[in-house]
Amino acid sequence: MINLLNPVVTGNISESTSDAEVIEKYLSTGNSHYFNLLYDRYSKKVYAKCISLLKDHAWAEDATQDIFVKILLKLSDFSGKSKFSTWLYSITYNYCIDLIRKKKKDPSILVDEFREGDDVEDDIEDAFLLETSVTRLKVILGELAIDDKSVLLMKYQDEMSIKEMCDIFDKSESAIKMKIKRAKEKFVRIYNQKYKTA
Amino acid sequence: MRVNNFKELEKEEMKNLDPSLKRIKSSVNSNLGIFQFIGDMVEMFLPKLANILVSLTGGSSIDDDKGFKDRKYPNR
Repeated sequence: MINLLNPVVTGNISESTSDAEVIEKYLSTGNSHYFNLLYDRYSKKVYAKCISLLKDHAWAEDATQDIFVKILLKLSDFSGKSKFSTWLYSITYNYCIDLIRKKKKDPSILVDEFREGDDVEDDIEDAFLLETSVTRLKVILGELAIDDKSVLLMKYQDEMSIKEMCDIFDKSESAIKMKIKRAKEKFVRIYNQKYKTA
Repeated sequence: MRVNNFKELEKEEMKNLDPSLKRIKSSVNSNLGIFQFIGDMVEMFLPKLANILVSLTGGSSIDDDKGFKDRKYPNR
């Protein structure tokens, strides 16, 4: 029945259709089925990120809803230069950081820490962070400030490039590298305090 | 293959989220419906509004049906 009523939707789109094609279809037809498809693909990840960053289920639920409404309104601005997922996650991180900043009334988040530095040489091996057990990761990330946690998740969980992170935070490459370096140092410091003292 | 426990953590965090997601989806869909309704209204009434503004400023409005109505025998 649905096939007969909506042949355009079911005829051309499948699970393997790329995000760019789905967006193009949504923008040209305005059919909500295409938007729902994007929602089904990414809502779980966005919601999980919101819970992880905001540490509150009710906030995370509201935030996920707001983020998808934002996406709905801004979808025509999506240029396709980056992957849709990168664009979506950048909106998610910025939304959560802004929310925390407003709730804590702390405008210094993301302002003080993004300093340019000459020495951005990174001594901490990526493998150290990547191989830390899930249980320990959860504890350590839970103790980090939202901006430090965000850069680490962007780098290691979402595998974003430095260039993509520069675009998201509107900062220079050296500022981003410095931010990652400091976040890694804080990670190791917490790790040592928690698990190396015994 | 390189171990990446950040990915494992993400998988773990994504478990058991379905009930909330259904609730969020219905809210997003109701927003989608409202935006579509507003869009349809704008599309329907904006040309009329433009005509009214033109009339108010002393111009003559465009009426697509005018020629049709004026003809005594429109099917000829």
